[in-house]
Amino acid sequence: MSREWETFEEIVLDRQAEIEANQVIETYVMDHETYERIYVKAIISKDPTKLPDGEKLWVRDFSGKLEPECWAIKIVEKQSPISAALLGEDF
Amino acid sequence: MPFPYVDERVFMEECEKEGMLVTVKKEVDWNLEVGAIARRLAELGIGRAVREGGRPAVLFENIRGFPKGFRMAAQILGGIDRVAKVFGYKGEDLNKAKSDLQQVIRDGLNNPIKPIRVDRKDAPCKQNKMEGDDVNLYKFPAPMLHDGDGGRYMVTRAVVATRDPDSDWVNWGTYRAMLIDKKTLSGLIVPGQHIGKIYRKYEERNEPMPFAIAIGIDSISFLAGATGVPYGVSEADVVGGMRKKPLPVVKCETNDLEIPAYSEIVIEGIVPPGLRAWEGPYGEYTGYRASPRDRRPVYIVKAITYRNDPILTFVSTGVPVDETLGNAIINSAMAAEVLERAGIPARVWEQVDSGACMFVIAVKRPTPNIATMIKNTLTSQMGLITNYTFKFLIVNDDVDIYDSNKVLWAIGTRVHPRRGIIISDEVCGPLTPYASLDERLKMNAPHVTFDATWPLDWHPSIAVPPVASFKSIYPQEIQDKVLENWKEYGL
Repeated sequence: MSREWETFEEIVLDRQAEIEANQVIETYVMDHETYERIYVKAIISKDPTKLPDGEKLWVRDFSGKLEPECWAIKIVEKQSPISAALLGEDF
Repeated sequence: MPFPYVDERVFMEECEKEGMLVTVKKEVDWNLEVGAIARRLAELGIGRAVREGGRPAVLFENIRGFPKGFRMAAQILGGIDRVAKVFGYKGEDLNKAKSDLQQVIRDGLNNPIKPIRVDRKDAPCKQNKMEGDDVNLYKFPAPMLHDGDGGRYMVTRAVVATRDPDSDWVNWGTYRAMLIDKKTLSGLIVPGQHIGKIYRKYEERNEPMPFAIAIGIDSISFLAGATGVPYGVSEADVVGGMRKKPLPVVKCETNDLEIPAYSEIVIEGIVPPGLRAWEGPYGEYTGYRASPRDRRPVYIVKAITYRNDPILTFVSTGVPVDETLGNAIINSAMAAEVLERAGIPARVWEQVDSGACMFVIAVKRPTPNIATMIKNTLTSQMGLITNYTFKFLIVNDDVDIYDSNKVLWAIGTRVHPRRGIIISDEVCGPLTPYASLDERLKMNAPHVTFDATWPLDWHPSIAVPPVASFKSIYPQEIQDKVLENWKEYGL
């Protein structure tokens, strides 16, 4: 069973242009079940049909509410947040 | 075991025997369900004693996905009955405890007792240990408390111990922290808080700050950590003063910090300099999820020790009143002490119904500009608290400051819109709900002081309107007659 992920709207909105261009972005997401945070290189799409081999990505708005429709995410590479942070990445 | 309690388990057991705690055996979910239950208990109980319609504390024994023995507890001091009990209060009138306990606390503040160190073998918190690669915070049922929180807040009812690198001062403070992953937490460390000042010193030296987070500690330690004990004073000593006996503490595994020996779970490690992670938002005790997400310091865990069958204590903070009642008593006691030392004898109550955001101060002898004088005295000497308690209401001594209805009556009837409202620019905490997002991030927003004292140049028997209450507007003989015949009236 594929995993589901979660993120915050303001995190992905910062990368809107890259997301719309289907580029690989670096960001963090949380496991939708455990809320464990991982740092990823991934392609994200607001329209899951455009990323058929992707996993579900649930997005919370600024007030913390889950958007009713999920997005999609295809994770290319995973890192632990602390490893990413020690490399100077934003987590 | 009578007061003082050293072990929160014993306190909870006694509470259960007296109907002030309920053990839930049904399976519950760490993901929102336990938070929702504790929140509803808080909102139904609103700080009242169980015998007066309040709601009990709760111990959850069966957590989804966790082995038997891993437990959670909430609302431990969610009623005045438990607050009174934890301080060994013997009085029958529990509402009077709000004022009576302030003197107990002032005595404790003024007569601190250093903790006593026990051997590791005698410390229950050392019964189990994880270290290095074995560290896994997900072994514990860290709760997702509110839908939309930034993560699982494992640290809400705990103290975080840190040492000032320039002295022997050890600070115990209550600061929220959420899980990032198995070995990492991120937490709100505000620069003006004691931990923020200590952390800044380590950052300036480019050194990691050792820390220890003690969860499931005795309630007096929790309250001491959550209140504004003065800078440079170790909360452990004040705890000893308030309990009138030294608190047993034990040394950590990976640093020289000491924490309560009867802690349920102890998380140790370092906060590296310069490292930040996104933290928040989180539904806070003011009743709002007001502190925005921001990049905040990171706790890297090196070791965890815990008791057999550990109890993860938490507060599902939100619309008042939850566990702010005990903090209000301590903060009020400290404010009264500060004012008395400044030559302003007063009764003080940090109004819990206001989200613990307003000090109500009754002065015996108002002097010119008394309201401004009080506000300035408290903000200069209790800045840590007044960053969060940002409203002040100054009243004459006839107002019952512990009665929310009387406090509203005073605001409604005695505050002159032109001369009674004083606005001042102050430092605020990031939790300040009325501040703009920008003000919250910059931690700078106006405070307001309401002067509800009668003007000194108003003649008391001519200009000051008499209070029309049963006790003040009828002759004593009429009051006595009415009280004597009350039952005969059929009322």
